[in-house]
Amino acid sequence: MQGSDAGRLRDPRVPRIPPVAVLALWALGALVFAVLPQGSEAKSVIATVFSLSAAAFAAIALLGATPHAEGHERAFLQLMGWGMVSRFAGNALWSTSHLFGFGVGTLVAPQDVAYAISYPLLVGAMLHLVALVTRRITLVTALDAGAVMLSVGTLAWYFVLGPVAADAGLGGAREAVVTLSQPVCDAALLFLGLVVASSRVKPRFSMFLIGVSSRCCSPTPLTSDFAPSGPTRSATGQRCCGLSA
Amino acid sequence: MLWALGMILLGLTSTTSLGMPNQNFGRIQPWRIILYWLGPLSPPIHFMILLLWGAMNPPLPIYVLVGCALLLLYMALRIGLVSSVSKRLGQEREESVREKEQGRLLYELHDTVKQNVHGISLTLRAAIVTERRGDREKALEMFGRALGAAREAEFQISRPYDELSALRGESPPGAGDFLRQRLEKFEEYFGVKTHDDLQASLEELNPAETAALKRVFVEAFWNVAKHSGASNMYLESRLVGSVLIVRVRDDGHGFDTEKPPPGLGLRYMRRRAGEVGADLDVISTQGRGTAVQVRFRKRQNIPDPWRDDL
Repeated sequence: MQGSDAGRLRDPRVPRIPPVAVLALWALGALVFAVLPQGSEAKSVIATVFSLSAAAFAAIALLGATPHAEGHERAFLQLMGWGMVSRFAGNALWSTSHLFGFGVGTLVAPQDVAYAISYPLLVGAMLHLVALVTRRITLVTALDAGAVMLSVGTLAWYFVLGPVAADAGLGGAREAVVTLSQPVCDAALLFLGLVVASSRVKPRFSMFLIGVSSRCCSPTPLTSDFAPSGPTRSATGQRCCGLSA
Repeated sequence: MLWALGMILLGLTSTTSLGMPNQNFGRIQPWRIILYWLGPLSPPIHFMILLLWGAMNPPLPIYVLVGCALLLLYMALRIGLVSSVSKRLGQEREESVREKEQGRLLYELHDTVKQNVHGISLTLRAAIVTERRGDREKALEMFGRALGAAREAEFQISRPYDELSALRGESPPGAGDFLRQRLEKFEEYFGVKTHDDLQASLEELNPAETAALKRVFVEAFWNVAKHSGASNMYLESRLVGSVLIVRVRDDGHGFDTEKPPPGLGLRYMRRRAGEVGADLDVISTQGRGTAVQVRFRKRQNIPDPWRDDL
């Protein structure tokens, strides 16, 4: 296995991003978001801008660090980085489609394709990480993640999304797949993150794991166009998963 | 906004190295596994809730039943996989222990035999110089010492080799045959009359016990040759109740077991026996010889044939 520059900054040529500044910016945005009244246009704009810029930031930072990493760390950063790029593309396409109204009514929307690419890459990255921090249980963990996806999906559909779909009069397979895929895949990512956290993880992993957990547990403002009332209802299943974890 | 925070933290992570481990960290602790099975992400718990809810609010949708069937399939697959992984991990652990033991033996080989050979070479060189000076008698005495040291080295070199063979399961003779062969060599090298009386079979010992027994007894033989001044050495085995006792004793000058002389390796012998769950007794009285015996517990219960011999 390749060595890594553990314990210090990766390379002096990589511009150091001051975490405090970035987090302060996020805190400011969160404050403004909390102060704005419910249902206001500005709130929606802020949420969209923040989600897109955060996804872009993560993708650029991860891929920017890739050339300076080695071995397994490089492979992991590449998988995660491209997963984030796809995720950003999905979010951007979703926002654009809602602004300009394209892709609505088609069998497979472009943002769905982007999400479909994003999740296997993210799950692959997490499985790679599991393989690195545990011994010979990657296959078992992958099987467990599949079971978690199955059970979370069934639970979410039975208690939350199924009744919502019935109320809204929507029962198409595409809507069902689109709606279920996000909470189900996020549950798998969350599970894999917990497996990594269960190993003897070094402190440097902590921020990463908090990031994965926050990402998976939070309802994204850009999920699907399944629920007419927007992201709040369609992300309920995801909330359930997040709360349970 | 929390979602955005997650993304930001992921991005910030890449500014420092993740500190990828250089080797796998091993198994996840059992309580964490229990948390998985009983925790909020547990698939069986999810389906149990669904089934209970469905039983109270019929009818149960077909997709829930299909999910239950898939869950059963998953459980079966998982049991098989975990069993296979456990077996593989067990083999890896055994291999690791074996490698560690081999390393120890190599180190020991280097420490003992190399020094002996070096001593022989120095003695021979001194003997040659003495012989050139014309002191033939002293030179002959030195040659004799070198010969004795060479015999000791030959005897010593076979110790780790035999143990390694036993560890690898390559030793064709069982423990009994091995010890008899060693007795013959011992008599040949050191001129001490040997007697064997192995009434209880040593073949039921497992490879680890066999390796430990061989190691302890070769050390004990060495002590007899080096320190006891004995004329006779006896090798005996008995099954007393459920305890298998293997013993070597001599008629040498003995020692005070409260204050054993240094260099007997008694601590090592005791530790080596303890590694396989056996006990080591050293019985000695000054002027009345020494007995070293290893007791292996939990053997098949057979009537005591030894009675008052001990």
